[in-house]
Amino acid sequence: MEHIRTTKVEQVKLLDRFSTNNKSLTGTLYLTATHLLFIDSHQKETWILHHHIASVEKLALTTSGCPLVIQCKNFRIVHFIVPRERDCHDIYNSLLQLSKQAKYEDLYAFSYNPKQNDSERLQGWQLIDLAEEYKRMGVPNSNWQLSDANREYKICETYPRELYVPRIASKPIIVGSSKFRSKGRFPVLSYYHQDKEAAICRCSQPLSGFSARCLEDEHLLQAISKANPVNRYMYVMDTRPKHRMQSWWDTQKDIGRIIVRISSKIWSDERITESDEKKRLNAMANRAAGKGYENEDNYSNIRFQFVGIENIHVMRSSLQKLLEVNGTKGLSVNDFYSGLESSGWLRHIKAVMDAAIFLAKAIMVENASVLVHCSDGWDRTSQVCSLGSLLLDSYYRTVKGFMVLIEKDWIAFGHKFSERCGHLDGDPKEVSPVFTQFLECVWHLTEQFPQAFEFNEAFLLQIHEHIHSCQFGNFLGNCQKEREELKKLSNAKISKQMISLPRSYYIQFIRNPRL
Amino acid sequence: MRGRGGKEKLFSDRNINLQVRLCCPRRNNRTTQEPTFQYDFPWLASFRVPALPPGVVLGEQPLPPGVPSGSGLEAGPKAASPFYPGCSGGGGDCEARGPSWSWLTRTCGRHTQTWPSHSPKPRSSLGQRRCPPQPGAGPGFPPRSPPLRPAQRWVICSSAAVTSSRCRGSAVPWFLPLGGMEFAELIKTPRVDNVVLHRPFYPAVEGTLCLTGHHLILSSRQDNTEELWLLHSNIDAIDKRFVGSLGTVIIKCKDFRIIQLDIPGMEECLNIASSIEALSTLDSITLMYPFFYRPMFEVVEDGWHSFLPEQEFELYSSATSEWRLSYVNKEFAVCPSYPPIVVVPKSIDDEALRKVATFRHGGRFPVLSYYHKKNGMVIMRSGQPLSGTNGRRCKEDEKLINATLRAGKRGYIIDTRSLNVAQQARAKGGGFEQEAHYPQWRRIHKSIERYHILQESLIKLVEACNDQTHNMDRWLSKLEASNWLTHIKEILTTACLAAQCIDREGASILIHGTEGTDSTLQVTSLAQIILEPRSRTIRGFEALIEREWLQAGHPFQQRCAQSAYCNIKQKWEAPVFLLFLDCVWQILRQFPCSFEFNENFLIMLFEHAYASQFGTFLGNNESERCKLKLQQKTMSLWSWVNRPSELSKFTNPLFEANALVIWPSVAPQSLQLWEGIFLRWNRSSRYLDEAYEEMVNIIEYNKELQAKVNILRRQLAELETEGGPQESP
Repeated sequence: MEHIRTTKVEQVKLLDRFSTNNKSLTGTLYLTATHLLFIDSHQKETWILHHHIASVEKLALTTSGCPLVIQCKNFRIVHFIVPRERDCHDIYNSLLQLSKQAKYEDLYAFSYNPKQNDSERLQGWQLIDLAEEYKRMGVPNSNWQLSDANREYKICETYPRELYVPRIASKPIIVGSSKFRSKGRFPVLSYYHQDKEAAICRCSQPLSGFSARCLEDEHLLQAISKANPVNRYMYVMDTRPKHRMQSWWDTQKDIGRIIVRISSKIWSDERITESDEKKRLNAMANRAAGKGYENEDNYSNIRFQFVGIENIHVMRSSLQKLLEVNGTKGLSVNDFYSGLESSGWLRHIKAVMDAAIFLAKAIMVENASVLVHCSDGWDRTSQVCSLGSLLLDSYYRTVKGFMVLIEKDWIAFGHKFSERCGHLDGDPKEVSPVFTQFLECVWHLTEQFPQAFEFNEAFLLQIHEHIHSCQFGNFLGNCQKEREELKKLSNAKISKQMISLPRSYYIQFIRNPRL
Repeated sequence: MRGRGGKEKLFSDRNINLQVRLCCPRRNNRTTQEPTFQYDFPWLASFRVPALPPGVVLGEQPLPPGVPSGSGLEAGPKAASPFYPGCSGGGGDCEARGPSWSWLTRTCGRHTQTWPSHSPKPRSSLGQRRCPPQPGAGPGFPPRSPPLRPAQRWVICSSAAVTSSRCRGSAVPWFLPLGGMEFAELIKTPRVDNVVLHRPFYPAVEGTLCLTGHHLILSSRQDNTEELWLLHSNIDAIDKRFVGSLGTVIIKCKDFRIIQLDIPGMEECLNIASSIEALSTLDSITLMYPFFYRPMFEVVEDGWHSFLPEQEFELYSSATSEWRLSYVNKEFAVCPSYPPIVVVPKSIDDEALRKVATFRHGGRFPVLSYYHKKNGMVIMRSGQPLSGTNGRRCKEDEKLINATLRAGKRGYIIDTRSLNVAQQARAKGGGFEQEAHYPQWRRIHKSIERYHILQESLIKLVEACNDQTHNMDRWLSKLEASNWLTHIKEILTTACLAAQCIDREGASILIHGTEGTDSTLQVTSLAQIILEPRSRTIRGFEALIEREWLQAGHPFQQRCAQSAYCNIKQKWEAPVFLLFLDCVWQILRQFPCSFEFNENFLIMLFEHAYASQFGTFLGNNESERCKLKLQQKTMSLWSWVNRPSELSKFTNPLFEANALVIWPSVAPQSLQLWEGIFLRWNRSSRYLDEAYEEMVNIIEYNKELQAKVNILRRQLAELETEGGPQESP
């Protein structure tokens, strides 16, 4: 509250973005602790949640007043004209403060009171039970079991407590493997296809440096492969583009070259030839290859597959470019398309879809289990695993199922919602539209298979609003552990809900349950 | 021709030309109720031998042997196969696809910028790859039924022929090749066995290929398989390839479909290819299929008389008395490309019109195109004024167009060329209206491309759509380089400007380009779609096509002679009409509930403009059509379309009459590639079709329930009024 200086400004104009001749509505602007509210002369209300504000901009003063442009995280752009510059400045400063909170306690979810009693709130938290979901998939079974290794978040902080692993994988193997994997994110089950007995597993990249082996990790992968009785081999999908790996390689080679040079000087071996240098370099590079992705020699019956999904920084700037192109008025068709192309957004969407299709095909057609990883295993891995499961299992295309899918592959497995959505005033480089891309991929599927989904576009948009709104507890925090702490912090006052719309708004009427 | 991939089995033992369409079982239930069924088997009721077209020779027909009998007539009704293959039920509905269902999924964020509203082509590839082939769909069930189904109507020969084929006990694909004398010499090899057909979405089919005067037919001669019927006039280009003695003919159609025929034997292949080439490029219009086609449906209403200028004029004459019908062009002497009857200002006599005609390009003096009842403003169209380099003027012309202005009002002249082009036209005797001579008019120049620029754009676009390399950047840059959407944007912008002048500014307008037969008509007709609710109905749209395109003298014969695959550069081809249809589709997509027709209606018009069994789009203008005696010798497209059974397929279930002016968005963000035309053969629309069908069912069911509610309410009210007096005493 201390940030709010002016709570009410009259005679504010709201420009109509859809009219061509800059029509505007005049009304009153109210600033509350959580929302910016505009009520026009027809009593129509425009609510903007502070958490939805991505940026506020104060433009140069004009004759009619001081323009204030607010860009929202749901891609809405609101253009106000405040008659007095002083008011505008006050509001501008308040919004700057209010839209970027420093502490979780200041987020909307902590003050939001949806008028529900404790039991209703508890119901909200228990609505989605992942143990139930794994049971639906058919695990635990003779090949897969629940592991209590991470019960106290001891092995991996960013994983949930309950993890499913192959029955033959013992605890030492798991622990050993987790040390070999970045952030301790060892291979675990994400989705089990009951008919094909094949599994989608996920993990993070191996960390081995120059000693490129970890026997426990190799054992764990063997165990995953053996947990599929139908197929001898399994896939390891690295969702990172190969050229990125290549540039990493190149740096390794450069280091290697220096080492070779130095060593040749040390040994004062003048006769070292160019070809010798190349031989040594290759050997070094091969060893170096142990980091970043698995050395194929050490893993038998494993097929490696690279799919090129770019990293969060590329995605962030791509979205930025896309929004710029989409927001520009009076573009020519050619400018629009070249802008669309250079933003690369659709290319990235296609890369994610391609990866998910590869995954689904590996399971449906080849009966092979697939292990998916990227760098940390919480961005691209979540995209590919969840989209792949959506393609494979019609349950995930229902309203409930889709929420379960998000809960399982995104929330539980530690997609860093708070950092990626910029809930708090943090590192802007951690913000990235990874989850937005996932929703868009689903949207593309709903367009192609309208009857296959129980929900419609409104449902996806609503979820997209709520990942940024911080209204409910679902998407707060960066992992399960953090979320539990937050819940304690709020005395369990946060309510949990993914959708705040009446069901009739988001139900697809033309659904065909057989699809 | 098979509009969209044949799927009908054409014959079996007893029926000569019974075409059994195979539906996938899911769709059958509706087809059985098809009311048109009674027309379908005319010989069952009264066996008539229709008049044979001139030049048709009855003779021994090739009787390919050996197809097991027993799946004949009785299979027809059971298999829910209306005689028109694919005309009803499943096929018809599955043909119906479109964006209009999407409103259900888009209850909010209609134009949200988040989701790029344009659809990247790879969606299609994803879709196809995601789904394993569906065996349940039946072999070779095409995504949509062919809309040109009457083309498959075949000439029944005689009952004797029926018996004879039955006596032989063989189910014989038996048809009469319409090979008159004219065609006999062109068909070098009428029949080849063991030809393999490859086409989009379907497994290859092996069968017998037959060439007739107007069709290419491929029959697998087996039960449960479909046939391909392709009108020669639909063939745009063919390629031949040889591997050993196996020849391959790739047929590229004007509706952008590409099919491939593997023909054993080099000689046969060469013969077939050259025959197709000759037959698809017939010089004489009178040899075209419409002159030979005999409809097998009952003509409820003769389409040639559906939209008479007099009737159309009556719609205006009730609102205004400032206009009159003029018969000055009765003999096509004043303007060869105008119809005999035109609407002109009442105060201008025919003599003045003759003078004005000499001042306008092609004699196209300004005539009324549209009267806006709301404020009495009008759209007129004409050819360019022939002012030339020396600034010639024509007092009668000035008087004519000034006669349309109200006192003290100004009007707008929209020139569809850029100022530069218009100025250059003066050197060739053309020009534009000088401000000095037309002080009451403001001239606006808009640049709409014509001729080869449009044709090249179409060629590039279709090539981009057929390019199967899955790369998003490549696709987007090719789409951009085709400039197709730029043309769409220009045309729509100009039409919106025209509509704005009329509705918002309250000013009359005159539109012309050079000849006034291409971009002029695009703009006048689109402006009417925007302004007038009637032109958004099926009949109103037909009337619009008749009035603004056919009678106004758009040279269909020249413009639609070739499509996107033709290598031969000819001067007059241009997809002007297709661009217009695409623009209508863009508006339809933005206002899914304001149109009585759906996307299929537009696709059907596109197909018939390029190749048809009907005479409607033959000829370049009314005078040519008169000389060809099309009314007497051919059937009108409208006769076929305006029957309830056909109309049901073209009706938009979401239609709710909207009396308002609709203002489409012309921002590039709002324009989309018309997938229904350009990606039709590249990706299966099965799931979209099914969704559309489901939506239609829901809407019908909803209507039924509404009706029930109304009945119950009425009953309740009756009971209450009955019960009332009893209780009161």
